[in-house]
Amino acid sequence: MKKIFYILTAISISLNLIAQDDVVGGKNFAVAVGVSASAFDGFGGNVTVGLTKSFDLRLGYEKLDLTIPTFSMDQDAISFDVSPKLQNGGFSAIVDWHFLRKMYLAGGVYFTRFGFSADVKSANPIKIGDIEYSPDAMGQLSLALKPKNTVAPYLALGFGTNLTRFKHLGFSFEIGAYHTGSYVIDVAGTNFFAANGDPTNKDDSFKKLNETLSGFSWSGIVPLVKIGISYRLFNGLNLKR
Amino acid sequence: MKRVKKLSPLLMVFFTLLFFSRCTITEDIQQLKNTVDSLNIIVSTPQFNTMASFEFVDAKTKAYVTDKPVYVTVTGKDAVKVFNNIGEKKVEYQAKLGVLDLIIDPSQIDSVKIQSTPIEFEVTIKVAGYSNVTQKVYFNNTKKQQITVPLINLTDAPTGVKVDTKTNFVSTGTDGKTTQKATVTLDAGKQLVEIPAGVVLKDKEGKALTGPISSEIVFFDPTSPDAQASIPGGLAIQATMPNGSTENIEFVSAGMYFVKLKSGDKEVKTFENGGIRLRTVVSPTLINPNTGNPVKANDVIDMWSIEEGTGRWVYEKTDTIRSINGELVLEETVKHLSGWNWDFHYKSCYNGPKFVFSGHNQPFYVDLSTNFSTIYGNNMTTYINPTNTNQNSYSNNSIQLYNTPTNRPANFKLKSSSYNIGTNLSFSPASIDISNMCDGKTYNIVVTNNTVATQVVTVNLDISATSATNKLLIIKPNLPIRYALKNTKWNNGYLVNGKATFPVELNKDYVLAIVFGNTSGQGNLKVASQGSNYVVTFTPEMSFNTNVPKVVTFTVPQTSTNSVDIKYSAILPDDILNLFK
Repeated sequence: MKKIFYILTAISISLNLIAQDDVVGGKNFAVAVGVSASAFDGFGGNVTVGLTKSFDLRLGYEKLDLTIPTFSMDQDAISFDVSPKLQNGGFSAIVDWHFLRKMYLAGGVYFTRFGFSADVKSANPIKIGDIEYSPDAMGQLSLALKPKNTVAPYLALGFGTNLTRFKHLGFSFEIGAYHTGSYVIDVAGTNFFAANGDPTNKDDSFKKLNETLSGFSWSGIVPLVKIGISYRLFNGLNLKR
Repeated sequence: MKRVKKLSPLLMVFFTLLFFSRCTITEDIQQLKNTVDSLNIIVSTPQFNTMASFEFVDAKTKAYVTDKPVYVTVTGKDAVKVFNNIGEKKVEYQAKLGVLDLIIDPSQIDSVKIQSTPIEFEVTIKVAGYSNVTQKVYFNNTKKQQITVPLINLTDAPTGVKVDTKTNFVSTGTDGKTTQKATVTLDAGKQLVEIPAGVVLKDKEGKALTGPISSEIVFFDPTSPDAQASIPGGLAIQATMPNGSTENIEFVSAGMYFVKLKSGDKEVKTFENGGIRLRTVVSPTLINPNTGNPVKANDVIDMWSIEEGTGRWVYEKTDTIRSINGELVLEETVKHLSGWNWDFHYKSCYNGPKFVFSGHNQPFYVDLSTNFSTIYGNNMTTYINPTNTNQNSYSNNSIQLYNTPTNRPANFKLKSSSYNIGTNLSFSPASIDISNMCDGKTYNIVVTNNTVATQVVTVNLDISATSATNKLLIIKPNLPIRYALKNTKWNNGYLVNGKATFPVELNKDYVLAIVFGNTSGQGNLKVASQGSNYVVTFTPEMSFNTNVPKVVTFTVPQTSTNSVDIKYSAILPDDILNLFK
């Protein structure tokens, strides 16, 4: 329900503001393609369509797959290799409202692929009884930080533009965040650690952890800092903003 | 710009809230840290697929041998790969509750190679007051096996098993020679064991033994099914043939002796200056499988010997049945001990008939009886799980017989086991005639449930273990679990990551048992119906804990699934918990 609420709210605000602006399409219509680079969200591309004099619709996709170098961690005299990975990005549908010539408010939805995971595996063979087990034979424990909702509302303050009306080349800088509802931690495992993934085993301690996480006001917020370059392909009428 | 001005109050509210809202990040991080520190990490014990689960039973009473320590040693080609069910290597293992699980180190199993080169080893079982047994074990796949080993109580042997024990059978002088002739007769003189005067008795190092010699003589009547079913290691065996080759064959015994002579704790292994005379009267009703007719004078039969601990029979010589005073007699003087056997034999194949069950989707037991001796004896009770087609699992939808005789017909009869709790099953066909047990055929059996009313509840068991000092590390066992109606035979199940499911009959007393290494946990369990609820009474008891077991009782509503969940976490001392880590 929350997802639907967020989306409807974003759409209705956008439509309300757009309705106050000039007529959609016609002379205001313009199209630009762009590329973006974002902290936490990776690289991507977008298509921006000028709807009115002040409002642009931006559809984009960004992707980040970051493998962090494996590091060691000691626990109870056993050395573990920890291999973290960060994944982010996703599809976005954003409306840019240029309330000033070089500033805009961006609002919309992200279909996020956000996820932070870490695979934990024994660094060395271990003897249980008189049988030695290789790290592969023991399997691994996988921890994952995921969003509660994959469809998340987005809000940002931008400088510059993703669709310039004067020239062909546009630049933008955007700072904002999207809200996935909450972070959710999940755990899974293989071989010796397989039971950690059994839902009936997660009832107690992991349920408490996720309840704690969902209680934080900042939980589920994914910050973004983004720069973009765009190239206008088409302009209905070179309207000055 | 006009619009910005219109929106400016809203923006002011937004930024004011943003900048003046209380920052809770420090407290939140601390709270998060506390929660993370209390997270449970679950580690399961290794899962062993290739496992032999032994049950040691009194050959006469069929009861588990639990009143005396049962010691098991492992020898043979692949003994180095064998461990107990928590991966410990021991010179001598000890059974608990009449059972012992031995596993093969998973890293030493080649799942392809094992099909052509089976893993083989022998286990020798020693119990005070019982005859020693050596049992050969084969694995040609990674499946679990259940092996019941009948042990012969020397003072209360099964029908057809003749036992004579003497503390002073014969004496030897300082030169190691027997000082006089000594004779033992069994079954009113039908069997005779005799050692003449002047024979030198030597131990395995070739040293002559002096002083009083004790004897333990066991004879297995070939006309007694009970006796034949009690033969140590069974009649489907591996043998060294006359040409020196090794073959799997099926014995048809005409008379089997196990003779053990000891001076103190030294066993007699060889004789010099003569030997020990074995004689038996052969029943004229015994069928010679080579002719298909009853045995008669001048029929030839092979004589085989077995060295205790080897599990392999060795061809010794061929004897002739003689007619003496109207009786058919076999007689031989042998020069080493301990097992001697006159046998006809069939060659056998590794994979015999296979029976596949369908039509009933709940696990059940089937009694399979046959007119020849399998490696499991003439009767076997097997747990069938029809919905499981994984042939490597502990229990699945089939019975595969091994080491069955080639070109030999047999009849198999199937009936519902008395272990089928609250279920009345029938089988179609219930009787199967097989012309050649090595034809590689599979026989499909349709199971029909004739149960009128069910009073059975499914128990979903979830077991874990923690340490008293660190409850955040939870051990989930992968181990065999046994359950039984009180004072009846164990049913085998397997805990997978601490979980197992099995049926129990309402208002009956059950016992659960888990044996791990030299430690065991037991629990009495009863599920009673009370109105619309089930009342579960569970009394867990650990072998290392001398406290009076605590009775746990809880009530759960009856559901359409007729099931109850039992979750139990044992707190183990660190020395025992560390066995799993």
